[in-house]
Amino acid sequence: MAYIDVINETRQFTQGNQVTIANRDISFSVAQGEIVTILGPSGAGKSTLLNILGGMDSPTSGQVLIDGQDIAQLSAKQLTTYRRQDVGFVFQFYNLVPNLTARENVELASQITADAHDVGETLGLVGLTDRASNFPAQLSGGEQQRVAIARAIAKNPKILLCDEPTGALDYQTGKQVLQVIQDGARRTHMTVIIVTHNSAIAKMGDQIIHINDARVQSTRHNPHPTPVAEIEW
Amino acid sequence: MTNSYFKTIFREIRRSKARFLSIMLIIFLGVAFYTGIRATGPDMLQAASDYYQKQQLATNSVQSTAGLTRQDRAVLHRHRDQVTYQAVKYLDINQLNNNQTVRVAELPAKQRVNRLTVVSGHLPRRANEIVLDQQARTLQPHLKLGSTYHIATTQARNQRFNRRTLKVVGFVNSPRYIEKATRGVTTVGKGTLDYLAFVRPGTLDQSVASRLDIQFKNLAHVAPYTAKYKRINRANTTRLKAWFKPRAAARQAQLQRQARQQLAPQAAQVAQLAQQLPANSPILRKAQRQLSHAQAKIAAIDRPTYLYSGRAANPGYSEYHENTQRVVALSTVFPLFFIAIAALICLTTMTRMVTELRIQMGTLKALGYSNLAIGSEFMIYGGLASLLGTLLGVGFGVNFFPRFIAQAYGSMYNLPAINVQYLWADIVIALVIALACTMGSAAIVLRVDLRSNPATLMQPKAPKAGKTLWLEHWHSLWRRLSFNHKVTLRNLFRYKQRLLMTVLGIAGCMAMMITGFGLKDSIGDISVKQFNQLWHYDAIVVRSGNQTAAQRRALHRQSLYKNDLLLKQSQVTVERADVANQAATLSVPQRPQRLKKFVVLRNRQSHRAYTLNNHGAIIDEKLAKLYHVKVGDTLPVKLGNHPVKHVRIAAIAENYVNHFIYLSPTYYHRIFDHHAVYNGNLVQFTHHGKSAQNQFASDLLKTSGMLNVTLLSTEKHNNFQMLDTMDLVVVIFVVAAGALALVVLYNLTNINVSERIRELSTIKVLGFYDGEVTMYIFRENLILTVMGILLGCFMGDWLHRYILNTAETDSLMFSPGIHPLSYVYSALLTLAFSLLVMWLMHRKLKRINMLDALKSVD
Repeated sequence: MAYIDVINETRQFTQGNQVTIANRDISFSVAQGEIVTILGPSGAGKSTLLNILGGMDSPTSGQVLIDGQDIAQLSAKQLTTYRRQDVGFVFQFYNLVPNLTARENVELASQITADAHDVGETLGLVGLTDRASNFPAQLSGGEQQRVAIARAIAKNPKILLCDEPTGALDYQTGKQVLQVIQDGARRTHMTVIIVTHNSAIAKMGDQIIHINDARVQSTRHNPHPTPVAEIEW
Repeated sequence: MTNSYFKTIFREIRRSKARFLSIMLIIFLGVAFYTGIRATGPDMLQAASDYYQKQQLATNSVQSTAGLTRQDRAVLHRHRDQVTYQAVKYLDINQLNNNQTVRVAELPAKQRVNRLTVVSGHLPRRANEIVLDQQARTLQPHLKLGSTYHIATTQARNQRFNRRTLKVVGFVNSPRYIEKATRGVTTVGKGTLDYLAFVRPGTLDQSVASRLDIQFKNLAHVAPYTAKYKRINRANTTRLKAWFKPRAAARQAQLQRQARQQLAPQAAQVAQLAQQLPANSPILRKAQRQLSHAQAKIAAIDRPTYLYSGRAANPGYSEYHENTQRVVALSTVFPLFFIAIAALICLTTMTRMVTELRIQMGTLKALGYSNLAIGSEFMIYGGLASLLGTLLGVGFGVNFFPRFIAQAYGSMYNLPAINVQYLWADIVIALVIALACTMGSAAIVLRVDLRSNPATLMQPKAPKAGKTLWLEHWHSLWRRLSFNHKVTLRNLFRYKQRLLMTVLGIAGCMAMMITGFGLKDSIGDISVKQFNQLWHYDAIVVRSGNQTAAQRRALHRQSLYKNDLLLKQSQVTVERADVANQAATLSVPQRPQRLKKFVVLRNRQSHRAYTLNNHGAIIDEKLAKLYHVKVGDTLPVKLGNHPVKHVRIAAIAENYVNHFIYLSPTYYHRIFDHHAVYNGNLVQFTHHGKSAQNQFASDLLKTSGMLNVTLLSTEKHNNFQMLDTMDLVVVIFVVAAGALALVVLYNLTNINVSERIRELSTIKVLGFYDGEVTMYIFRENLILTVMGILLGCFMGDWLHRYILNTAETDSLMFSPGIHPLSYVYSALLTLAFSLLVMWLMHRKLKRINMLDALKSVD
C-alpha cells in the first residue's frame, strides 16, 4: 500500500465573491522512502499542494491519506501535532531564526520532537559541523539552506517537504543542497517531496508529478533517477 | 502631490487601523490627563471666585465687644465711594430640646453683601417667616418647607425675641460658609455653631448691630486667594482700622453718657435726700453708697474692642484654597510624567512604521517622488493621529477630570458646579508634545532612511544579526539553562532599544500606580496616625486663667469624664527672617510626666518616646524641617507681647497636622521669666457618644471663666472626610495610569509580534503548539514586565516623594511611607495587564497565516 495517498484533493480560495481554484481533483500516491518531484510553472498550484501535504493548510474537498490517516479531517491542533512529529519543511528562503546559531536553529526543531536525531550528527550530515556556532548572518545562502535542511531532518520526520529549495541559490550551491537532500533521504528512508519549476532537477525523483493549471498533468515513475552530480541546468 | 498619493495615505491608515488607533489612543490618554488635571485646580478656584462675586461676599467684617451703632455705620457711609456695607443683627442660641446651636440673624431688606442663595422656597416676606441654612435640613431631616420652627432657649435669651414661633419658608446657603458642615464658633452651647437661621428685621429685640459686613469696591473684580488680592486687602484693612480708630473712645464715652443719663434720676433723688435728711442718716448713707457704686461702675466701662476680620476667618474659605492647591501640586509633575511615557511609546511605534514601509518608500523614490513627498506621508499619518488624539483628549480631559474631582469636593463644599475652561497654554503644550512624538520621531528615523538610494530601500533591511551574549561566556550558568530560556535571553538582549522602551514604559506606569496608591497611604495615614496613635485625648478645654475649684468640680462631675491633664496652651508665632512666619501651639503641661497618657511624643521612625526635660523643648518634625533646625539648635518664638525668645530644641517628634512646641514648666519659666498660667485641660472621655459629648461641652461652657471646648471627634470627622475626597482623586490617577499601562503593553507587544512574524511563523510550521508559540514571546514579555515592575518601584518611590514635597502645605506633613501592600497591588495590576495583553496576542497569533510570512523574501 502507498504511504501517501492523495485522492481527488481540491483546494479553492474564496475572496469576496471571487473563487480561485488552486488544486483541482488532484490524485497520486507515493510509496515510503520515495523521492518525488513535483514539477510545474509558477502559479500552477504546487505550493498549495505541498502546504496541504505538510499540514499547514486543509483541502476544500478530497482525501489526503498519510500512512492511512486522512489529514484532511484533522483539527488545527491535530495538524500541529502532525507537523511536529511527521513533517520536515525546507523553504526557498531558509527561514532561519536570525538570533539563533546554526546549532540552536536545529535544536529549535529537535527539542520539540520525541525521537529526534542528534543535533551534532545532523549538522555533520549536512557538512556544517565547524559552522555550528555561527549565526545565520555569518553563513552563505547555501550554508543557510543546509542548516534549514538539518533543522528539518533533525526532527526525524517521516516526510520531508521542500519548496523550491534551490530557488534562491546559484547553480553550484543548489547542487550541493540537492545532494544533501538526496543523501539524507537515502540514509534515513524518509519520503521526500520536492517542489520545483526546474525540469532538470525534477529528474532526480523516483516519481515525477507534473502539475499545470491546478491539475495533475502526468505522473511518471522514474526507475533510474539521475544522480544529483549529473544534473545540469 | 497627486491624488493617488493621498489615496496611499488614507489606505495606509485603513490598512493599519490598529496602529493608527493605538497612536491616537496613547495621545488621547496623555493629552486628556495632562490638560484635564492641569485645568482642575484653576477650574475649582474659578468656581469659588465666580460664586463669591455673584453673591457679593464681603471682604471684611467689623465687630465690637459693645455692639455696633448708627455712628459706626456712619463711618462707612462717609466712605461709601470705597465700600458697600451692611449691618447684621444676630443672636446665637442653644436650642434646649436638641442641644443644637443656631445663629438667628435678621436679614436686611436689601442684601448688599453676602447674598444668600435660595436652595428651595423663598426668603422671608412676613414677620412670622424664617429661612434655614441647608445644614439644618441635614441635621434635622424632619424640617421641611412649611414646618413650624420654634425657638426655645434659656429664659434670658428667649426674651430677646419678639416672636419665637415661625414658619419655615425656605432653605438657603450663605457664601460666608462654603464648607457644608462648619459654621464657626460661638459662646453658647457646645461652643460651635450648627446652622444659621434668617428672619425679618424686627424679630430680635436688640438695638445694636452684631457685625458690619463690608465689601471694598477695589476688590470686586480681583480674583480671591491671589497675591494681588492679599496685597490690596492688607492695605484695605489698614485703612478700615484707621477709619474706626476714633470709634472705640467715642463709643465708650457714649456708653458712659447713656449710663449717666439713666443714673440721673437716681442722682437727683440722692441730692434731694441729702437736703432733707441729716448727713449721717443711714438711709442717706445707703443711697449715697449705692450711687457712688453705680458711678464707679460707669467710670469702669471699658473701651470696647473693635475686631477686624477678613475672608480668611470664614470657615472653609482657606481650606478650599488649600485643597485646590493640593490638586495643583499633583498636576505639576504627574501629568508630565504621563505624557512622557506616551511620547516614548509613540516614538517606538512610528519607528516601526517607517521600517515596515521601507519598500514602499523605495518604490516611490524610484518613481521619482521627492524625499519631502515621501516623508510627508509619515508626517500626515502621524500628524493626523496626534491631532485627532489631542482634539479628543482635550475635549474629554478638560470636561471630565475637573468635573469629576470638583464633584468629589462638592460633597464637602456647597459651591456651584464648575464651568470648565480651556487653558490654551496647556493645550498648546500638549499638542506640541503630541506632534513632536509622532512627526518628530518619524522625521528623525526618516532622515537616515531617505538618504539611502531607492535600490537599497527596496531591499528589505537585513535582519539584525544574532550575537553571542556575554552571559554565554559564563558556561556553568548558560549550560544549565533550558533551550527555551536561552532563546528568550538571546532575544531580549538582541533588541536592546525595545527592551529599554518596554522596561521604561512599564516602569513608568508602575511608578504612577505606586504614586497613586502611595498618596492614598500618605494622606490616609495622617488621620489614622494623628488621631489614633498620637493624640489620646477627646477634648480641649480653654479657660481664662488657672483652674478654679468650681471649674474643677464642673469638669469632674461630667458623666463622660475619665481623666484630664492641666496645661498651658497659647498660640505663638515662630519668626525668622528667611522663613514665612509659622503659627504654632505652645503647650506646658503642669505635670510633664503625665503628658504621655494624652499625647504621644515619639520619633517617627524608631517610635522611641521622648520626655520633656528642663533643658529644651520638643517640637514637631515639620516645624523643624521648615526652619532647617535639628536637636540642639534654637527656634525664635514670639509669645504675645513678649520679645522673641530663643527656645532650644531637645527633641523632634512625629506629628502631621499643625505645629506644636512642648516645654516643661521649669524650662518655660527659664525662657519667659514667669510661671505658666495653666489655662487649659486635655480631657479623656469614658465613651464617645455624640450627644453625650455635646452635652459635655454645653455643660462646661455654663461654668464661668470657661472660654471654649473643642471636641476632637468633630475635627476627626472633618479630617477623614477631606481624606475620603483625596482618595477619590487618587483613584483617578491609578485608573489613568492603569489604562496607560495597558495601552503601552499592548502596543509594544504588537510591535514585537509584527517585527518577528517570520520567526513566529517558522516555529509554527516546525510544529509549536499555539500555547508554545505564545509562550515563546510571552516569556520575554514577562521578564520585561518584571524588570519594569522592579524599576517602577524605585521610580514610584521617587515620584511619590517629589509629589508629597510639592503638595504639602506649611502646616501639614504627609506620612512619607508607602505601604508594602501598595507595591503589591501595583505589581499585581501590571502583571494582570501583561497577562491580558498576552491573551489578546494569543488570539491574534492563532489566526496568523504562517504561509504568508514565509513566502516573501527575507
